[in-house]
Amino acid sequence: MSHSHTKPPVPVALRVKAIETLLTEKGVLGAGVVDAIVDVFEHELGPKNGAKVVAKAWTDPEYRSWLLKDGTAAIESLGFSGFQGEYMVVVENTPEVHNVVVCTLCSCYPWPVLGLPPNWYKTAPYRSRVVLNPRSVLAEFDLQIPDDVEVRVWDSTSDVRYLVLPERPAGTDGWSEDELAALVTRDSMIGTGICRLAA
Amino acid sequence: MAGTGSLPDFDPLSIEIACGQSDHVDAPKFAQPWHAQAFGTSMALSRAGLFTWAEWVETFSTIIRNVPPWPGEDSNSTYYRQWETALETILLKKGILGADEISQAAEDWRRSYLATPHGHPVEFRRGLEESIGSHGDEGHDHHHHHHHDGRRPEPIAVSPARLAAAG
Repeated sequence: MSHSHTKPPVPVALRVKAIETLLTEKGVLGAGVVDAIVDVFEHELGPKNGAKVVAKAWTDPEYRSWLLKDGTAAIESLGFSGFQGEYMVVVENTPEVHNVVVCTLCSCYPWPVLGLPPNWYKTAPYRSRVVLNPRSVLAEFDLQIPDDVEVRVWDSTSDVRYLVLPERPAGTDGWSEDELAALVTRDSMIGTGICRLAA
Repeated sequence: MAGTGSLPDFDPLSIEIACGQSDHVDAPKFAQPWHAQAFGTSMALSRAGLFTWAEWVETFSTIIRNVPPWPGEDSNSTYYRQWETALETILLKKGILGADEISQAAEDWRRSYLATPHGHPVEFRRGLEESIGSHGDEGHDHHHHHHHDGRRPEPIAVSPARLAAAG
């Protein structure tokens, strides 16, 4: 008997299947629409997109000014838009200021340029503690912010998504955009990391 | 030093980087097919104009506040369980689906699995065996939270520089 059936998934997974089935049956969603969105998130959106934005800003001063003034348009010009990337604000790290991004309510995140958020970004401890004590949270990411640097915490919402423009590492003069993009990590664009040359 | 605060222990190094170098550089994938399906369904409904993403965030953040993690549940499982609850909540609120029909279809799916020989693709079938009613209605208050109002963005918190630049 145990070999004559297929084990059902957990109850919550059955409810998700039920919802998709009903929505398709009622014609609310077209067949395959959900799978197509998942495919985009799994294969097209991710930090490599954000890294291209950052590398271009590092090498092209005009683009950098545009990016900081109108992040949405400057990012869209590289082909990254939609999926709640409609209002993007780019905040720039400098020797005086370090920026870090959170969504205190849930997990709002700049999907077109970073893809899905890491698990820790979605947790209650990160969402609350990075606001209360950003320096100690950053230290847990092995990021010691010097005392003479201000730390700014930005709260992403359904309307505004923040992206950090990290500092370009020293010793990269003359590097191509592609070479620079390879240095840009996901965490550096959230602000829980910085860009470093490989040791 | 670590773990002495009143908030739960939080060690992103053990949570994240232990998963491998690529994980702190790249975006994570969906851990379970139903996570992807729940996420994609909310996104598809919003893109189809059934609710705005702001409405979704309001619903989801309310659920996050009101639906606690289960003991021993990992944070990602909690997150997608809350996501699914929010999805049902907004479907009910918008009158798109009813709780009873979701429960019934979930039960039909369960029976469809049980009626499918192992190794065969599972197709959705109704009317297998007798029906058993089930629960699943969730009522929640809806709190308002801040929306972008056209002002210049400001940080939610600032930890000022504590020293003049070191000389």
